[in-house]
Amino acid sequence: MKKCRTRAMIFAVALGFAVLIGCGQTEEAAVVESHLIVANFAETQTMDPRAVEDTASHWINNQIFDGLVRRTDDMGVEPALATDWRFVDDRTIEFSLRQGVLFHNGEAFTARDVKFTYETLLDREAGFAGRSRLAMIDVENIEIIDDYTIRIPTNEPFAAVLTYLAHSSSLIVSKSAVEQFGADFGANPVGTGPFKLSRWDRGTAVHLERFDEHWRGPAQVERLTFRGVPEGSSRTIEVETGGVHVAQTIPETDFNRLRDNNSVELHEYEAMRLHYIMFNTQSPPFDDVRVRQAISYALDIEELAEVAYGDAGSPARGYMNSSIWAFNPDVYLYPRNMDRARELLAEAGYADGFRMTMTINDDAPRQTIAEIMGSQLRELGIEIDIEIMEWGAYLQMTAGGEHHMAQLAWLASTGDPHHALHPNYFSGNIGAANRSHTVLPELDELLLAGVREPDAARREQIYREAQELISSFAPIIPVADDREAVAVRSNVTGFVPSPSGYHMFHEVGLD
Amino acid sequence: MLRYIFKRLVSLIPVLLGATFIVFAIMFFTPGDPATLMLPQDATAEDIAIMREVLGLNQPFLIQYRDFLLRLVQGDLGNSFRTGQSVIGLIMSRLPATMQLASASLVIAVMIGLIAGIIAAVRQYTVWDGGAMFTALLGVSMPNFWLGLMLILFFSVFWAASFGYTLLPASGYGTLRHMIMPAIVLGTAHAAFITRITRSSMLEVLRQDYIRMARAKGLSPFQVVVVHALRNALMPVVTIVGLRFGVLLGGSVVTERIFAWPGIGRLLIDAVRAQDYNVVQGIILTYAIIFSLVTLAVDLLYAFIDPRVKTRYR
Repeated sequence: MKKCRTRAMIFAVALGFAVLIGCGQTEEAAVVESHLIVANFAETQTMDPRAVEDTASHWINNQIFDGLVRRTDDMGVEPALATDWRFVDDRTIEFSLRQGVLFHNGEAFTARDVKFTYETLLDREAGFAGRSRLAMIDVENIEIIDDYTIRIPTNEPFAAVLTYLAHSSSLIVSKSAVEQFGADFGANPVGTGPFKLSRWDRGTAVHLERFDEHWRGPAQVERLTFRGVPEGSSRTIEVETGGVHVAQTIPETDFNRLRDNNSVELHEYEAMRLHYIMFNTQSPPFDDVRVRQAISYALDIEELAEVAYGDAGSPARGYMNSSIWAFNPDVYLYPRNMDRARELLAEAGYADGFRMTMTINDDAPRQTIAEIMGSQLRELGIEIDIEIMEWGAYLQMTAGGEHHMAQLAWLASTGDPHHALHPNYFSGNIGAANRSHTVLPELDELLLAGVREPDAARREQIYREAQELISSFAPIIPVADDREAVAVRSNVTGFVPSPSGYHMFHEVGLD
Repeated sequence: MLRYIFKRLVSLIPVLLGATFIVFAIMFFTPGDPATLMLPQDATAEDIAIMREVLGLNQPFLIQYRDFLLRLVQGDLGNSFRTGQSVIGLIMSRLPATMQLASASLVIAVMIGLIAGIIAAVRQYTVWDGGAMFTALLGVSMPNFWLGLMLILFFSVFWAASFGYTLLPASGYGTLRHMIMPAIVLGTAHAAFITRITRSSMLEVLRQDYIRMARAKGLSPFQVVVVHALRNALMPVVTIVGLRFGVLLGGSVVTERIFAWPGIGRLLIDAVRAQDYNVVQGIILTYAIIFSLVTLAVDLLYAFIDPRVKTRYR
């Protein structure tokens, strides 16, 4: 019996030690000078920029890698690894590359790395998630002129090519490092960016350190840590209590608390996302434009936006997010007019209303909108059944056109009107992102003309026309422009939020 | 005994096969498509078709399951669809955090549960008993997310506002300080169960003749309760503790999310949402193994507590 007791005690002591030793590392305090700690809203999936399509991973990858061009704070494009470019013809762009740029492994950056990046990214067999973003590149014919000059052709004239090349999917990887690490490159990233990987604690944090040889000069802070803090209220508390210096995607319910906090600055900005209600324009009764317009007239968008999104959204002003260039501020938005709505419904043969299903995913604001819609449309005799689905099934169902009405948001993360409109309204994208199943030949022509037109002023005119056409066709009801907030401790300097959500830390310092 | 252990381990194989088959079938027939979830929303139908081909999702169900089993017998659980990382690597990177939190929570749960349960039984129908049972009810009833946020508000926010520093970090992983709040949150609910089972088991034992005999012999109340009664009351408690440990090792999504704890529960939920079949399979397989081993350990522990049981292990 004594033996048993001794064993039990040894077991208990060993268990206690295991717990203590496992947790015995020194805590990294947020107060260490020149060490910036950031709360990301999710943990990173991989640090191979070609392989991911989630904002949390892209944000980190943007600190480790550079692209040929990069976004300015107002979503323009400026040189990065390319110093200059010119269009050789309407399908080919020639880049002059920056000389003397080093990768984190000490090797020189050349045109071979650019060619390699795009060739591997666009390799169908490789199955990289970022492939579809750059599918317009004619990868077979990328031509290296010399070490620092490269020509990149597109399959068709593609005026938005620079904004797409500035996207995080287009960041340049080191050819030799990819060949060295193979499938493990995502855990051993080698780029030319201002920070290099120091340590990856999977599921917890990515620790970066300053790359002193960066071509723009060393970053302000020596160390940069991204912690994955998935719970919104926990991110708020962490930045309030100084556990982190920067917290991304603050929940709307915490905005006021942080606005009143003197040690935290809340940066609120317009993200390039539009929240909207969409019809399946192929499914009766919504295949009749009068029914779609009637419902557009019947809804009080201001109320929907206010109740569902609060400070995290502002009532939509058009058929794409208003912060994207070529946005048409004069586009017709259906003001609330119940008489006109009744007229249109009667004309369409639905004077007594009808019953329909609003399909949504498990998202609180969308549920709120569906419920308010139910009460606003009841005046027209329209009854709404709400169907809530899991995200994956929801995407599949709406792509397949099995819905009546649904709700989605669209983030045009390149900041280009082509990205904002073409995926959602081009008839060739039915079965993919065109979930309203819009087929409008005049609109298709405009969208193709827009992406082929090299002149920016003419492009703007084309996209403005396209938005007017979309308004008259009413395949969606825009609800709100998205607003995001980043909370930053007051001792952080130089932080400028980017509308894309990929905020850069090269010039961010600590007082 | 060794033969018994071997038999139990062999019987694990059909259990694991059954578990993987059921999970594979559920994931396969669930509406939705991993390829769609991996790609940007503006991916074309062609992009999605290519991705499905690359991931091998176009194969029939049984072929995919067969391939999974073939890989499994070679010790390969495949790679994550989303990240390309090996599933074993992903699970192993999360297991230590899960083990640490589960062990710490269990220590808290057992300490509170045993002491409160014994006191409640010995002082039946007194204020002590009522207090212990009320606290147990409270422990079961308090939602994890609420208790977690309350602890954070007190130990982090209120403390920082009052004293200029946080007593415990609001979230994160890596030090003992990070573990205290999540361990309390998880431990509290389990402590409540252990309290109730300890109490009822002790009450049953305390009514038996040999306890009366022990008291009549003049043994001290401590000796009677701890040496004579507790040992015999421990059997159901050990069962509950073992099962609870198995549950704790499965991770807690809510607690892990609030405290940004890198446990296996969050990994599973993220994988289910992304329909990352391989990762889900790998984690369920790990759960099944852990749970089976824990129940085996509990069975073996009976022999140490009650030597009479040993004879049954053949």
